[in-house]
Amino acid sequence: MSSSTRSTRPFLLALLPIAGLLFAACGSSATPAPSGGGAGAPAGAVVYAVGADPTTLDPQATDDGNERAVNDNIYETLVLRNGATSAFEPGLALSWTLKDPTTWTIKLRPNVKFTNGAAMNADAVVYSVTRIIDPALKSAQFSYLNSITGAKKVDDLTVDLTTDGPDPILPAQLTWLKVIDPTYAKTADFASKPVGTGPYKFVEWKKGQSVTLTANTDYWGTKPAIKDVTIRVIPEINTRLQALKANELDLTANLSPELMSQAPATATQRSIEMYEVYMANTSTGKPFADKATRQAAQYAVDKEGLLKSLFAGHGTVQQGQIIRDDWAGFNPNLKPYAYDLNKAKTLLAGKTPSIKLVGEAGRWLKDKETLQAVASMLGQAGFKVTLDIQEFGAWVSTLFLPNDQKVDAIWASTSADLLDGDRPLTQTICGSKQVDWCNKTYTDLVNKARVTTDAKARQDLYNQATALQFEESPILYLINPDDIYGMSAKLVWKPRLDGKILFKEMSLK
Amino acid sequence: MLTFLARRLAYSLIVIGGVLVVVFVTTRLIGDPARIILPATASQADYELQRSRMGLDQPILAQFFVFVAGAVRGDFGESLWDRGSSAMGLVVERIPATLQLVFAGVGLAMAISIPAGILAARRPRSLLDRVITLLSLAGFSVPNFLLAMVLIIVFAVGLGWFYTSGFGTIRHLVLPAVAVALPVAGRMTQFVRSTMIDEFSRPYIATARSKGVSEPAIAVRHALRNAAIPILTLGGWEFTRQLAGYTVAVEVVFAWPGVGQLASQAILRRDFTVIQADVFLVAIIVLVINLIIDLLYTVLDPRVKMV
Repeated sequence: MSSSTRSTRPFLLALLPIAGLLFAACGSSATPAPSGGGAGAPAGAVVYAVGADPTTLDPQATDDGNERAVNDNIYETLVLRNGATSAFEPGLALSWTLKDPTTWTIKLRPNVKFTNGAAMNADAVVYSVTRIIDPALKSAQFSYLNSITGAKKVDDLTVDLTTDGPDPILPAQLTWLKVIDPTYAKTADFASKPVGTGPYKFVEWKKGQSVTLTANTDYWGTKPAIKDVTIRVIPEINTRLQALKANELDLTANLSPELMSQAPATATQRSIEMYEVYMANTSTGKPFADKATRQAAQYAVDKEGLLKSLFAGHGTVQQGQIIRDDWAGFNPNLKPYAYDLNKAKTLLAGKTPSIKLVGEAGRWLKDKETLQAVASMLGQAGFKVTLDIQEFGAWVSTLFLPNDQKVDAIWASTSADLLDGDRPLTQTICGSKQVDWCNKTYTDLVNKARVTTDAKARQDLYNQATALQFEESPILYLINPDDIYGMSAKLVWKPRLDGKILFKEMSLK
Repeated sequence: MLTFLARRLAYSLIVIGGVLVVVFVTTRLIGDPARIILPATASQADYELQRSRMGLDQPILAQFFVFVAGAVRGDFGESLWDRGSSAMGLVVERIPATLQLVFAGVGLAMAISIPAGILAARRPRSLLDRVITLLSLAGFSVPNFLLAMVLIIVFAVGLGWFYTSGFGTIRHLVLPAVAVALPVAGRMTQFVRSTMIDEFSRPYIATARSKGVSEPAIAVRHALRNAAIPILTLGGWEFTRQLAGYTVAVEVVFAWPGVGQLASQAILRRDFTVIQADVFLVAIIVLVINLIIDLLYTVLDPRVKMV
């Protein structure tokens, strides 16, 4: 008997790890609230989940929303936007005025310090500009700032910025340019331990897990209400939703409409994404060569229906232009093409054009579903649509095919990060890569507008350009979906029109 | 022994060379990182500038030679997104988290499957055997990402025992380890069961029984000892298989900061250098583990000779 008891021990030993796990589970379930993941954390703490680790915490190097989620709260820009109207507001600059057509004078806010004690002054601004436009930095943000040629200190709180031509978009560009401390920027820690002038200070970055911030008690502006902030990396949207339900999170972005009812609370705001289809090939003999066929496509698509059926109504129909009504360049006189199947059929005049429509899946909310619906609606009007959903990389290559190889139509989403009509409208000028459509008058109007610094004159040019584009229809206007945020029941926050997540604008119930 | 090691090393070098070529070619087939880092509305001039900044405007052969020359020194260059960070450094700092998950997961799987397999093998076709077989089939039939989501919904959201995601404590580790373990345990239980049934039918077991050795002692000291080599082989195979990519889905669902999550991000961003460093390092680890397992055979079975 004794030998038998002894030899059962290996069995029991083998079971020990399982018992250990169960014990750990039961033991910790007795404790009232978890802390490591953030749930039940002390008052004054907010946890925000993003989908990926920041690629770097150098605020000038890359174009990465996960980096911005952190650095938009640590660093500040010269110019800000109002979250509800997109109007410009003073940031680190108190004013920005045109001195001559290619020089802007920036007056800086006095008595602002970086959290390491260094002064925010003209030297810091000059360095910040010089560094980001230096090709050696290889900044991926250069496409937002490529008109700036230099910066010169006038006095301690005044800087002159020069541009390569008259540039009406400069104030919008300055909402991107983060001001850094010249001395600290040269240290090895700069790309991993950011130091700015903003409402939050950097605490720790655990790669692949989280970045933690704490309120900057010496902040020059309104002091933030929330003390501790954790930005967690959770790649999977379903996990983010579950973490929200388990009270481990307070906020996450990019929720899909179907998941909204599961979140403790939600908020929506219009996104910067403009869904569209380029009627890319308008060369002679091709289906979209004539205007009537392009307009027929406009009438064939039920934009309201798309929003209702796919986005639970969370979005807006584009107003006959790929410009949102709070962006510079919006033409208030244009209305969307109505959904009118009879008119579409009349315009097609019995023709059944065969078109190839290319798109991608997974990059934007409901991109594939939107495209499938559009294809089927075009089909009802008489188009014979061949739908080709490609992998993202392949789709990007298709989008930029040279004119002689262009597909008939291709889906895209324009994201105007500068909240300005220039970039969306430039996509359809002669020589652009997105469409082969080339209208001299339109191109002249857009090119003239981008060097017209008088706001009213510039708007007049855009009103003409957008009206011409609407009539000629090289773009099938679709919708502007909303950003959908999942929130905890205790978070008080209103999402911004520029999509920035600013923790200083949040509070807790 | 030395000739064995030399032959294995030469063989490993060939494998690594093959891995380098395949990873270089496939990363260049999945798309253009310059397009992905820029907004879709960027101009052609911006795009070409971005390409040259990423070194992608060089001829493909020149890129390949730079790549191989760096790879032999373990230098895969900078991350295309995080300029200034070495691609290999980014991968190396994620290895411990993945190792922790794989050790916990495969360890748990062995802790489940060895006793379960032995119990099932002792009375084939008994009720206990049928229940164990059914459970093990269920275990390896469930996709791990689905299992992961179910575990989160039941044990993290519903019961609140564990965290939904994240890293650091035992309460973060349990659910991902179970998600890795159950499919592995399912396969291994079946394997242990059939191996043990074979052993139980051998003459030396009958001899041991006739001498009055207790059943548990027969199972563990005699049969399991002889079944150890095939079980260890399978365990090693499961271990390397998990390391080489099967944990990616689990790491992504549980936000586990390991190489799997890094690799999936790098692929989305077309960060060539990080993907290359990742595949290279994992290939090396797999080769080393296989070598260790081969060496372990000699310990477990003196009849195995390394030639």
